[in-house]
Amino acid sequence: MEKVLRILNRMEKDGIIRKYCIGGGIATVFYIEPLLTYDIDIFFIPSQENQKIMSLSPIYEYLRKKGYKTEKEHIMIEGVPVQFIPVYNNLIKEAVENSAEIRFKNIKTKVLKVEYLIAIMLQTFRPKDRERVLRILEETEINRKYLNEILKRHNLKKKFEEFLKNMKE
Amino acid sequence: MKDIKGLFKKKKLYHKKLAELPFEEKIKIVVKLQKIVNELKPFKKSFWKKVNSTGKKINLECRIKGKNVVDIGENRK
Repeated sequence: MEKVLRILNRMEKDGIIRKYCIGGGIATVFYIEPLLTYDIDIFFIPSQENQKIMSLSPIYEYLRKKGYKTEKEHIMIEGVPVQFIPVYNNLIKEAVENSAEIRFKNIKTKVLKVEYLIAIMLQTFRPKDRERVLRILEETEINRKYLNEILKRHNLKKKFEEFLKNMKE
Repeated sequence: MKDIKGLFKKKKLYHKKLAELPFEEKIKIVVKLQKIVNELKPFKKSFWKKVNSTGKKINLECRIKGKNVVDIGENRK
């Protein structure tokens, strides 16, 4: 994990990506009890944002030169499967821009804020996302005002209310 | 009933305590979980028990991915 984070920070410094942050299962683990997840999802803002098509090629090329191989949708960095996901909508972009700086074994890194994590999972809304949202709500402190603002901005407030209502029934 | 309620309360507290562990510690547990699952995987592959409407067995792993694949014996290992 530490090696992966070092590589990611290096990629930012080298201008391969403008900004990254950890999302998905690992970001969830930051806030709740450990859960089973197999890869590290990395949301990133590309260095050249204005292009209509976001290409993963610069990332793949950069890492291939360092000797890392691809395996389906992942790049194996020091034995850890890492999936790079470009910011594909406004919510994800905002989430990366506002990510929280944390430290993992003294290495600086960034993770999605819990309120954004909830909003993204409401958007993707797979069964595992719904389960994770519930666990987050049970196990960690949330800034409700901040969450409401995000949900309002991205038209997710109604979905969240319905989700909570269904869970209570 | 009171005992069960108490048990669930304790369980909830336990999950909360786990959530409060340092990130590094949690990642160690995730890696351990992965190891356990990887050790169990060979058994999972040969685990057939669901039957579809035609009476044929369904590959459980494919079912999870939303594909009802009929087992014709080739997938079985």
